[in-house]
Amino acid sequence: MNWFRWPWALTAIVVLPYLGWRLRRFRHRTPAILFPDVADDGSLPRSRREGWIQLPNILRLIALALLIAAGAGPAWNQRPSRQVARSIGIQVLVDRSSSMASDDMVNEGREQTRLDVVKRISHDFIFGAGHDLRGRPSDMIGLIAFAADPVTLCPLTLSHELLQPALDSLRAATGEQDGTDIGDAVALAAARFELAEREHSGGLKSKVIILLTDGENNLGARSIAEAAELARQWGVRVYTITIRPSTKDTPEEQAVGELELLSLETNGASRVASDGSALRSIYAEINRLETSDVDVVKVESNSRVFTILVLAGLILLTLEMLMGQTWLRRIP
Amino acid sequence: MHFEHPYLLLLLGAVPGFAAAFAWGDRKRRAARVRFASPAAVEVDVRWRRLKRMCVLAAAVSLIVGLARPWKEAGAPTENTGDVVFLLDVSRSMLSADVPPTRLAQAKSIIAGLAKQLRGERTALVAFAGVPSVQCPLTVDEAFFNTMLERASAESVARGGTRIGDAIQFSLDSVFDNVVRARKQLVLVTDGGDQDSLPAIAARAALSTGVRVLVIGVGDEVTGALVPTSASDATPILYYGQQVRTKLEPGVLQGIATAGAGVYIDAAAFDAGGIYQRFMATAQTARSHAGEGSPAASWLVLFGAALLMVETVLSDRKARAAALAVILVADLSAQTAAEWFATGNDAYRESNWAKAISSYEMAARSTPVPARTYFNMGMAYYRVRGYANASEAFEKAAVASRGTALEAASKLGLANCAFREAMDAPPDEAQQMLRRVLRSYEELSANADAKFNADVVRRRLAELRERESRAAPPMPSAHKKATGAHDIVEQGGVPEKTKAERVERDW
Repeated sequence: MNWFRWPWALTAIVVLPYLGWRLRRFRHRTPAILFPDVADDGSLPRSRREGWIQLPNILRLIALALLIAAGAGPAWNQRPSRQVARSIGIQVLVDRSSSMASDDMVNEGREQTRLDVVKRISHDFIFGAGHDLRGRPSDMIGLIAFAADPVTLCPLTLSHELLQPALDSLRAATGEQDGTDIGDAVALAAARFELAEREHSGGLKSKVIILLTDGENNLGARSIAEAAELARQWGVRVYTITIRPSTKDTPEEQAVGELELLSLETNGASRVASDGSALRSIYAEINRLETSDVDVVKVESNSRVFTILVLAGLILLTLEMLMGQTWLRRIP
Repeated sequence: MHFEHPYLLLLLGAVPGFAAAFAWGDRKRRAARVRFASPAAVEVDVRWRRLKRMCVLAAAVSLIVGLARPWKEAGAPTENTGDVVFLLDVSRSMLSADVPPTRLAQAKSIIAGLAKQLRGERTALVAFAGVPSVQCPLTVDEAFFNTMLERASAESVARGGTRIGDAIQFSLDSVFDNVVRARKQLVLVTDGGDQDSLPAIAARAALSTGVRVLVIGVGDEVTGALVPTSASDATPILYYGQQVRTKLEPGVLQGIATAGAGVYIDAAAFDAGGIYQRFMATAQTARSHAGEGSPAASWLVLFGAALLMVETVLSDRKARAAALAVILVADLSAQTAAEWFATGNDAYRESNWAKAISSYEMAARSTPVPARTYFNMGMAYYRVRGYANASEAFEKAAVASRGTALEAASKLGLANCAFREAMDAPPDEAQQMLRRVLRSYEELSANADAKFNADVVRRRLAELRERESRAAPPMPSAHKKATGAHDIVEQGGVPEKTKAERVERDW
């Protein structure tokens, strides 16, 4: 959290010790008034008022410190506000069929389940990690998991913090839930885009589906081709990422062909990821292809703190001035 | 140009007060300077001092204007953008069937009805009881929102109860995002029965972050209903063997709405279209309307601080060399002794004693010294109560004007100075000094003023003697005596006046 909007202004504080030294040095090289030697004697009693003589100087320094702090734009407890121009909508479709639980995908030097790798790197794609994945803070992102049926875990939203628990909750399907219903999942994601578009009349800059799967469409009402037709019709781009660890010996050429067709039809791209770093670089590529407008992020300074600081500074200044002109007036 | 706090500009009225205080203090300083030291020795550069004062005044103006926070009208956020977070109470009391079929079902249909009215707003759904739980984050996906709304039930949250304040605070912290929208609203649908979670305070916090709170109350406020055990089991729940009856509490809910600058709507009088049109479509939240605080306020404050720093560093003391130079230049400049004398006289007439004295000093430094210079200088010193300097001047005047009428006047001035000094002296010395003063006055008895003053002194002496003769006067306080002296000076002020007149007449 930023404490100040313009923290550089605080550097002015370094001048204060110098000012303090300047003010303390009230013995000038040449006295303003020459007194006879008798009066110059230190043995003269000191009045109580003399003890307070530095008070205006101290008040002045405190006032200056407060004013500098106020000028730096105090911003604690202030949430930054974003001006989001036009978001890209990204639906992330994650296959959670039982094969995704296979423990054969290398990521960061060790074998993990495919689903875990997908979860981990999708997280990095959304929230950012490293220089190639910067995160997608200004995009509306939704999450759909599919096995036998597609399930929307998180709708298109800018509140990405809620994507985190949704991603975490992803588990591979078992039993009768198992399956790979790519056609329906893509159709559902495209339909969600279409409905939102109708409701909000063209609020999205572009509509993107990222499909992560390791299998072949083997269930559901729609074929991949039908889903591709819908996506094309509604202007949704589909990026397909096939998860196929190199250890796997049965190449599913046909499935890849279908996915390639899907992405071609919808003006997207089709890639194969054999391990974590490959998946990461595919995501980085999508990151480059789908450039979002840069948000304007603003932090307003905390108006109440500012007012209190300036007001306090003014009051101290007034006290200093009044004392310096009356009770603690110094001559000349 | 607008100000966030225009009324604070009224503080500018205090700036002339600052100026007046400076003027008063500086006048006092000047008087003290003249009294303690000869003007030539005073090392204050008036121009620098004026600059220092102006710095403080300018800083004050700058700070006050900054305090009022000028802001420029920001480009309004896109029209027709908004966020609506629906806060749905799913506590057990919401299962009561006083409004058919249940309060929860009615609440859901209200939310669905409102959501249908929305035009392009993003919506979110939070279910809450003892704890809140996000059912749907802010989204454009209305279908998903509706699905989640249908599914919401008492099982949507982990803990029972009704903590409205916590739910509002949670929504502010985690559901509303920081995207700039034309309006942000929180629609709370509940039957009340809050458990000390301070909802009004949370609603006020909502308002301060630019979120307006609408409250919709469901349930019957007259008879209420018994709380069933669960959604499937309609038998009333027992609490310590007692059935629990809940009623709608419009008062509390009204309070929440007021704190959040919103409205309270009874579900019985619910009309989604009307409510949307009247309260939600046009709602302008304070923050989104206020535009952005411009950095001008900060700049003004920093500028003020910089002025104060400069003021602190500036010295209004004359550098010695510079002072000498000024004197030399002044001496060489066309001002002759006579002109200095005339300048002094002008200043004297304007009661500008300090300037008069310095002019006379300048005149006295050159040759020939105009005749009345020392006398007038003495008068000026006398006016600022610099009696030591005054008597010195009068003495010189007496010497210079030997044999003329001015000599007498000078001696009178000298005596007056002595009198003043005697009045300020401790009583035992005072008697002796006064006697000496009396002698001086008696020597000048030709002068009416001197005669009058002699009488005053005699009276004063008698008074002192009488006081002394009284048995052991218990340490009369010097202060008291000083007052007495002043009283007499009031009466004895006549000679002073006449002299002043004479001076005036002579010029």
